[in-house]
Amino acid sequence: MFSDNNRITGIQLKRQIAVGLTGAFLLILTKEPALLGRSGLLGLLTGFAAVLLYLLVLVRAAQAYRDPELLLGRVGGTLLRLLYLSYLVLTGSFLLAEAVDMTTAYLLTGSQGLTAAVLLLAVSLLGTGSDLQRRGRMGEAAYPLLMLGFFLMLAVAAGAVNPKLLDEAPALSVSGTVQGAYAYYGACMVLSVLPFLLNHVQGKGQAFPHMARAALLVTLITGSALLILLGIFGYEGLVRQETPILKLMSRIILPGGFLDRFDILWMAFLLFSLLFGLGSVLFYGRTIGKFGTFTKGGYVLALLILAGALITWGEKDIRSFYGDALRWFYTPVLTAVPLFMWLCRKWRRK
Amino acid sequence: MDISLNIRENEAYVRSQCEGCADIHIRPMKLGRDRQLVCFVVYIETAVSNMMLRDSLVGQMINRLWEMPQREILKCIRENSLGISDVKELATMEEAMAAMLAGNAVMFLDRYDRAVKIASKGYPSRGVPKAEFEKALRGSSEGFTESEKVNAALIRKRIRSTDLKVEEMTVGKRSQTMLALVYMDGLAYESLLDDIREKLKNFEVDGVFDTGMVEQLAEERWMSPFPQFETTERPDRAAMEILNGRVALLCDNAPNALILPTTFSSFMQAGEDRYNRFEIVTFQRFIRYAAVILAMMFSGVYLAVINFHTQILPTHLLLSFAEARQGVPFPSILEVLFMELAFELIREAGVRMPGPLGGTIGIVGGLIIGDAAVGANLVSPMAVVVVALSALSSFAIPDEEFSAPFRLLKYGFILLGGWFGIFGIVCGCYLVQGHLAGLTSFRIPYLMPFIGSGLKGYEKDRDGIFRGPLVRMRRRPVFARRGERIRLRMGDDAREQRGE
Repeated sequence: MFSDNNRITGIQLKRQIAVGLTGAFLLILTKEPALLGRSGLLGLLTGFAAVLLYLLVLVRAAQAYRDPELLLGRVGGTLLRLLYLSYLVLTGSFLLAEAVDMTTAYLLTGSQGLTAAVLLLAVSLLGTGSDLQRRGRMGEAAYPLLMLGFFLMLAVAAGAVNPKLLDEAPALSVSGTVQGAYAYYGACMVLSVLPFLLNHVQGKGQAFPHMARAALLVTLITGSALLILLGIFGYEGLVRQETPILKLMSRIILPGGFLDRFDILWMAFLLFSLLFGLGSVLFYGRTIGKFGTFTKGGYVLALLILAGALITWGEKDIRSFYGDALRWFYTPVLTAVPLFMWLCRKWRRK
Repeated sequence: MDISLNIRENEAYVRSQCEGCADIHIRPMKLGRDRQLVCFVVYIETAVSNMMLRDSLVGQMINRLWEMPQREILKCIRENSLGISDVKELATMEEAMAAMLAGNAVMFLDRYDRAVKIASKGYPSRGVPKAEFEKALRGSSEGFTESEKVNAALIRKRIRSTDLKVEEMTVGKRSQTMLALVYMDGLAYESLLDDIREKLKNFEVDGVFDTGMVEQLAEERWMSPFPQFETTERPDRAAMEILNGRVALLCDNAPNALILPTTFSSFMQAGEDRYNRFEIVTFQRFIRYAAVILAMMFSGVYLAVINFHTQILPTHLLLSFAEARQGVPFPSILEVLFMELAFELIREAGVRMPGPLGGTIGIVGGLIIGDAAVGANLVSPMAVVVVALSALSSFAIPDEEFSAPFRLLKYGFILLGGWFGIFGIVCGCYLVQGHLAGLTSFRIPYLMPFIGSGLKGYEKDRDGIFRGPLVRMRRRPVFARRGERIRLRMGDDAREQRGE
């Protein structure tokens, strides 16, 4: 008999990673200059290899995250939680800002950003909840339909690729590849919060293959989307586009002609995945901060994310700040912290 | 209170308890050849009629005692040497009263500190009816009746094994309603049975008159519109599910059984699914799942498309939509809401109308209101088509109780689609999915078998949207104990199992 043991399966882990990341990566990484072109695509694959190594470290370090205060002391543990929380708030704000942009530009045209942001945040908060098993089941159930949707849409879009435009892309360069790899690796820093969950995965030893499969799937979908976009808009066109992925389907005509455009469907899939991604940020925030769903801490977290997404200073907003923060601070720090935690635990055990 | 040796005390107690109960008869008698042994029988008039008839169990017994010498009567009763199968001795007054209220005759004898329960035909009930709401083209037409005993017998008729256990209990402080847990010993998880017993003990209520009350009092998430217990009125369906390791809960006065644990997919299976070929059943299940989506979202998506995302429609279709809406003074969200509510009215009236009038109301009401509303420019013909399709879809869901939440959620989707377009529809889907993912029924996730493939103990039973060929459905679903999952053996395996 199954029991409510506050655990999820490896399959659920894989699926929730895939469902949470695909939409965000498609929306955000397809407009990341470092990932466009041949060097960008090679960088993506190289970055994936680095992500695999990073995942191995995360699995090794998982035990150390069971009770950081025990390992690092009260101050150290609190600082560690604050580090991850700050990263999650910024990531949540960035993701929300992107989702709001997509919503107000294509889905709820003419609506206020605040309305869309509040709705998105409320739905992701209520839909995902703070129950580990519920979120696991949600990811598992959504995965087949969502992935089938993405796959079919990309397959249809692939039919519109112009091979000549692919040839026009700039030649490979080492610096371009390195930049692309670092950009992709940096985007995958969202996986850095996984050790807080890994202790709740059935058969911890088998977590890595599931995580690696999820990362591979997300990489393949993102890579395919980048390739298809390159073949449809060309390198120059792609660089000029603000969010090319949203316009991908506007040029595609479905066989049969019963729908004139079906980019709304594409956006519906993206939105679902973004909601799950946003819900995941809230979920991890509550887990790391030890907040319940409807507690002060939970509300503060949601409000911080909302404020981060909406506040602008001059011409700047979260998007002009997040990239640099990720590149220069969070990527190196969040790479080093799990290694440190792992070594710390080893040293303690000795 | 113990039964006294003095019959006067017993009679006084019974009379005080039954004061004002005109339907309860207390019949004093003097038995034995010399009419010396004082006794009385207490019974409910309609439950124990024709007492003195020769073919009545009670009548036969009393007629025999009439002829015996007084000293032999008590010995005869004590040893049940009358040989009557369902005679039981009761030690306390409470037991005696409960037995009488259950529809039996209870006899008290002087100088005997036990009461004798003599089973009778019990309360009046109708015979085994036809299953009305779970109609099937193939398979038995028998349906459950209002007697828990008869219902248990209908299941036993299909599973003639002593492993089929029927565990009786009473709920309802005043109604003292009989419930029966029916399960296969060795197949159903003991922890599941413990959970069910615990849930049933978890409430104290005046009366329980239907399984619906038990369901609402025992379910885990009472705020959810989704039923967490499955209901069936077909004994064959109940028997089949019991063989899958699930538990049937019968309730006196309820012509149906509750089946638990319950999952989303079990609601999408019809009673005859096992009797038909797998290809057609799979196709039918696809239709049913599509019906769920249409019943819940079609009206909302229609509003989202015509209010927000007209660009997805081909021009000619868009023009015909616009033409159809010409002259309609209301916004589209209001016209859809009006039609949906009109349909609900017709449906409610149809259900309450007696007999064949109900169906007529549905057809005539739908036709007339739809036609008149279009003629009066209250709604567009397109809205009528959309609402009719969504209503039709809700009827394609095999379980009426399960289709109700989708009919309710439809209004949420209408508002979401009408106000926020596809954005609202996606948000609605996300919330519904989140809610369903959080539901469990006796620890089994509601979304099984669409989730849980990695859970310990999960085995594919080929009975989800796709129903495998019967010869390949060799395993029982997750409800059955892990070591008892083999349901079907073929060829040599089967012969070996039979010891041939």
